[in-house]
Amino acid sequence: MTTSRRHKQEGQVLVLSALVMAFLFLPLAIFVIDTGLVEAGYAQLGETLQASAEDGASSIDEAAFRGSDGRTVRLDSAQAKQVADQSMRVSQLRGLDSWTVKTQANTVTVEGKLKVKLLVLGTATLSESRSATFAFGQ
Amino acid sequence: MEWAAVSFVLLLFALGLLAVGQVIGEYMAVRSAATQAAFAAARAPSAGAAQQAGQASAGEAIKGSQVEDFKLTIESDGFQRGGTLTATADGYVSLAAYPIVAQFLGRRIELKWHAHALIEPYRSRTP
Repeated sequence: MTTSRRHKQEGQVLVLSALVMAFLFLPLAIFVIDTGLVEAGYAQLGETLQASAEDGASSIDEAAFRGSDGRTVRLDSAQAKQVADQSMRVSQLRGLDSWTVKTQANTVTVEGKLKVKLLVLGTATLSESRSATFAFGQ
Repeated sequence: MEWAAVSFVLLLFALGLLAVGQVIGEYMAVRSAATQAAFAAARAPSAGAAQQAGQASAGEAIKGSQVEDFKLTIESDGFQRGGTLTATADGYVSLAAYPIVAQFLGRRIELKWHAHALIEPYRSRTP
């Protein structure tokens, strides 16, 4: 390799490494951090929704239970919604945007939306739904 | 010469990336421990049982992680039905495996998370 050719090639590694940093390492770092944040938020939202659904599903219709001498055991739909709603509020989950509580027969379903603030890519909105069924005598 | 300088920077960045990945992993473990401890404790039949259930649940959640000096505190304010229970998980992640990164970020990073749960309104109580 002649001296003039070597001179021409000087700085090529710097350019190459700058490209590697810009197009490989930086996006990879962003991906690692933001994926972690989304994953943590998703797991937390799921656990919170599940706990709220279970809290709601523990609401027994006391009037029906006492009025039937303990023969009728069913979910108090209004109470279940109230308890699940309170459970969601109490959780103080950071970024919790909105939630809805639905009851059908003995099943309580809680749907929630969580806004996760990402490091670079703005905000991600996660939606999840969890259900719990009222059980008795098991 | 050029290679030496550039490869050092790239290596530093790659190690930093690994360290950040580890910190995030441990952070998730601490968050999960606090959340699961809060929910387990809120379903316990007494304040004493809540402490035990919370500690057991948190221990299960951080099992296999590399969180150091893990500590869980549970505050239930009398453990009244329908009240709020707060679980605080606190631990450290060591960067000893990444000496160069530790120069910049410190040897240990503290990870802390608070989780709140509704104390079950209908749970039967035991003394």
